[in-house]
Amino acid sequence: MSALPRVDQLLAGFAEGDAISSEARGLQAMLRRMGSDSEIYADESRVAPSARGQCRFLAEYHGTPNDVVLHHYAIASPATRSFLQAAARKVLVYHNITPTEFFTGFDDDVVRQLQTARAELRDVAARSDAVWAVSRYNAAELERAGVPRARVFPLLFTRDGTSQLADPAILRRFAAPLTNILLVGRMAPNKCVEDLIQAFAWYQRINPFSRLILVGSRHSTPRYFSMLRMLAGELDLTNVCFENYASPEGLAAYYRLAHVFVSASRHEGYCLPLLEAMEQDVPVIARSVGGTPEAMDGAGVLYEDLNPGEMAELIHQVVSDTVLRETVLVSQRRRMEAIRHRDAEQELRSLLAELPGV
Amino acid sequence: MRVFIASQDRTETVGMQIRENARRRATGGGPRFLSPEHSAIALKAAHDQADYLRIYSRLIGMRHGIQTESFAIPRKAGWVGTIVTRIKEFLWKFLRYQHDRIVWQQNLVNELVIAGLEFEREEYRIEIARLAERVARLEAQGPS
Repeated sequence: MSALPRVDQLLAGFAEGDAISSEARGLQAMLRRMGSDSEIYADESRVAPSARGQCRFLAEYHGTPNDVVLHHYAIASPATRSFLQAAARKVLVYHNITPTEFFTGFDDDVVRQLQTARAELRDVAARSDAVWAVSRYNAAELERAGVPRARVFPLLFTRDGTSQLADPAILRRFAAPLTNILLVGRMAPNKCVEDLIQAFAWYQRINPFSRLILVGSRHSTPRYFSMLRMLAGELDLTNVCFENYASPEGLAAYYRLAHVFVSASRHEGYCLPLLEAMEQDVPVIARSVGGTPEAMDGAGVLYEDLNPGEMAELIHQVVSDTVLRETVLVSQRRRMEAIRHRDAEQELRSLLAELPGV
Repeated sequence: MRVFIASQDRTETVGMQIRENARRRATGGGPRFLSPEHSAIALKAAHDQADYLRIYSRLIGMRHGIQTESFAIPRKAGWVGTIVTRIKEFLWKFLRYQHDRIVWQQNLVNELVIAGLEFEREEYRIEIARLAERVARLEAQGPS
């Protein structure tokens, strides 16, 4: 087996808990295990203070023609220019570009960056030696955008985020025996958290001894976050708990507390938290949209076109019907078993071998 | 509506059951949703950040007060639940006199802060209009 070349990764930003950053970290660890030198480079202005030291800055990147460089692409950023100017063999890793309509009114800068990313996608792909998509859904979207023959390398699922000891402070804070409905993900408009809050307003009529725990960064789209807070206030839902970003220990605690995980997202390229919840044996309910069915792969509960009242009844069924709940959990355990048997290193080696000169 | 459970299409069984339960529960009185133009959801219609601010200001202007008139006290089943609920109802009656004074003061503070923000916004608007007019005048004069 030939030695792997040096493989670097260029990102628009880098932060704890961010899906693309986690993917880059997972790939870096895998590449290093496989004997390749590998570094992560990100735009200095978009590296979270807590993540400094885990990556280098874009200005430090200098690839050679013998190297490979992966560019994780989801939004326009200076990382794309560094990628296109690189002397290394180029691989565009497509993570999906969220449709701009979700962010309209909430963040004008993000709207512009998403528009630019979509406008430049074909050109960036054409100037790459290979294009990888992190899901079949994303590959199909690339095909529609005029970028054929993208190879699929599904997002890595590492147990690092959920195998930690649970944070005892969080377990104590939520010790009251209420039914806990959990969502983990950025508080971003495409996640449609407002649908979940409205469903929870109905669920409180079914089970007043319940709470909705929302775990995810509130800094991602502050105006959207304000809308969610206002909505929870006008519905008098004191048991909606906005928990912000959680550490791995914190995440482990939230999953331990959860009776059900619900995602109302209307746009997902894949959605790793669904897998995290399954790994923790929490029943998952998700809207069937984008890459979600692919991530679930026949496990858990998928829904389409439910109003908030119906969604609340579905949550109630999954929480209270023991037979239904067990059926869901068995399907999820089967899904996680399949993920555990994935040979991601071999997949990565094969994809790299397809590059010219590797 | 579609519901899939463990890859099985259960729309006709579980789906229909939840639809029927939701319909029955709605006739018993659901949560009190505000009308779309008064709800936070109105913010989703914003065309850009400036429009968001306009809608947000309108909504926040309606929300300076803390409501205490009616809220449900959750009741657990059984006689223990009934007694606990009665105690909570009694405590609320007992504490309400002092509580409402605090709420009145907080509502007043909120109202004054919101009015202050509106005054400030109006001052900015006037200043920006004055500067825009001055820039237009200078541009019309051309380079000196």
